[in-house]
Amino acid sequence: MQVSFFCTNSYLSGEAYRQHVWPTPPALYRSEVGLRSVDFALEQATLADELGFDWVSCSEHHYTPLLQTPNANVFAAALSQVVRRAKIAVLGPLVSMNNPVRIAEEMAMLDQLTHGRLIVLFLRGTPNEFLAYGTNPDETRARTQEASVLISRALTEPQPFGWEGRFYRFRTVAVWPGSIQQPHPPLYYSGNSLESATFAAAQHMGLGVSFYRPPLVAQMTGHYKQECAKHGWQPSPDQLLYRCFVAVGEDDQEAAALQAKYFVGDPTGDLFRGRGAAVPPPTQTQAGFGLGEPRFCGSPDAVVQQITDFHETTGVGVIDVAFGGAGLSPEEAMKSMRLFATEVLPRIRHIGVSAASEQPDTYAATSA
Amino acid sequence: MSNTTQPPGGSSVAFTEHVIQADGLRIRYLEAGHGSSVVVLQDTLEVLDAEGLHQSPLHTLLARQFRVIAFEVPGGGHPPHDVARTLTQVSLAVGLQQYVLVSSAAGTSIALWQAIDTPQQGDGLVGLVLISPTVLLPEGRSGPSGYARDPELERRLGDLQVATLVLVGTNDEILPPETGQRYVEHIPNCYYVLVYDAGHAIETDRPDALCTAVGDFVERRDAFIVEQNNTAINP
Repeated sequence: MQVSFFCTNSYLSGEAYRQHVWPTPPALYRSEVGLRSVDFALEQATLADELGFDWVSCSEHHYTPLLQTPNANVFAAALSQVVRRAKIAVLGPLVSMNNPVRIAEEMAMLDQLTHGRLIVLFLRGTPNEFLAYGTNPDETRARTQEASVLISRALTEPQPFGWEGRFYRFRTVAVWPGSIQQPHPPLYYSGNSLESATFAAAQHMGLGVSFYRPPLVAQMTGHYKQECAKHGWQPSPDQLLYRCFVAVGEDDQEAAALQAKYFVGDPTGDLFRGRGAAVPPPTQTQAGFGLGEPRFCGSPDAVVQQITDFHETTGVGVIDVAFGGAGLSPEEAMKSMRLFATEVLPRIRHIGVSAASEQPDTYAATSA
Repeated sequence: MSNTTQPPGGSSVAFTEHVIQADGLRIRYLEAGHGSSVVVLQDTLEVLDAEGLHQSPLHTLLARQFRVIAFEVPGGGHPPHDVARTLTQVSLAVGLQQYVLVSSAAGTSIALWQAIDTPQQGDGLVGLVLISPTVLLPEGRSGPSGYARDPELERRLGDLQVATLVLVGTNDEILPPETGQRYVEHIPNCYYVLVYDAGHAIETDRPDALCTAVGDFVERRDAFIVEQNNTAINP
């Protein structure tokens, strides 16, 4: 099992989280808190690298203090200067609502800045976020798919080319710099629906599922594996990625105390209040999205067992974990992270390794 | 001789069928539309059916903007270079001063020879469009059934002077999309466009997208890469 540290760059003041609507009014932003927040985020990322996390990740999200990374590639560039060993995972850019060629160019830059340590997941975005740039929600699935194919092409075409798409038209594309990793950095696709898992399999991309409860994750990964087989390939465990929140305490009692105050309000529901209510949430949200639940929570022994069971249920080989809900102090989040790194991480390393070692060059073999 | 054929799907474009003699060959063609001239070559089997010539969706869409002449490519195993010379004569005989030549798949060799034989300056063929072309393949790839390399034609591609547009579908399972790169490498003034979500039959899969790209190229040739659409919201 590989482990990624999800660096959320959350805003470190409770005041901004008490609106319970989306978007959060910018009037609540305090520059001194913002500076303290980003310094803490980079400190966490540096520590994660030192503690042995395999990846450090970030994600594009908009108009919220929970994740102050509206351009994940900008934040990843900062991470690349403090994280010297771990891979930098952009999980991911919202490709449904950005210029795909620009994303490809930024990916190429990041692969250069990280000396070939970049990993990218193409993300569609949460429905409320489609309001941010005026994107038609009904078009976002198709836009995400087309943009993902275009970005992959833009990173690999050796000659200037044009693109006549359904949503995008470019008459001259010639991305420079080129990718350090060949043919391009490892690619994943957001897999929170069966349709997305089908597309990821057809494109030979890895699959990333976020926050779902284990039975629903297993449904997605099972479907994805079946679709991969139809296309003549088999994903390795490290091509199955899962994002979640984690709370580790010295014992179960301490972990339960963390869980009780982990979030402020209802993280999922708050996205669909205020202007966010104008866009209906996806059906999966009503059927157990799980954003507001620490997936792995307890003493180190308990969390090791939970992750072991989770892998057996889902086949996931990389977990992308965040340690700080808005209800936790920075000190509590750091302690939980250290406990995870020292007491859990060494004991889950072996999970899925034998299967992965049979396909050591998965990315090169499947991403062409 | 001429008679009128009705387009499929209730389109408002009506083509007229004609016959012309050249080099001892009887060549039929369809004509419709006004404006800049476009000559279309297509696979014989696509253009001919039991009823004779029929118009394709591309013919219809292009004829809404341009004068379109769709030639029947002579069969009978004539060498492509010979057919190209004949069709060049025929194009002049029907009064075309300047035209863009559009070819798909099996017509690629003929179209390329026509373009190679075109003088650098002057009237006649002024632009070339190759849809899912079949002359070049990526290194190490075998061609479709019946595919045979033409080393002489490949060697002469560097002599081609007219602006050339190559279109390849991203889902083409007969010719990999990488095919387009090779034309850019061999032809001095070549533009390569990937048509998203289209297979080998781009005309069937994405007719509007194909017509947009080809239409822009016919109108502006090299300048088709410059965006001209007004994007102001409230000008």
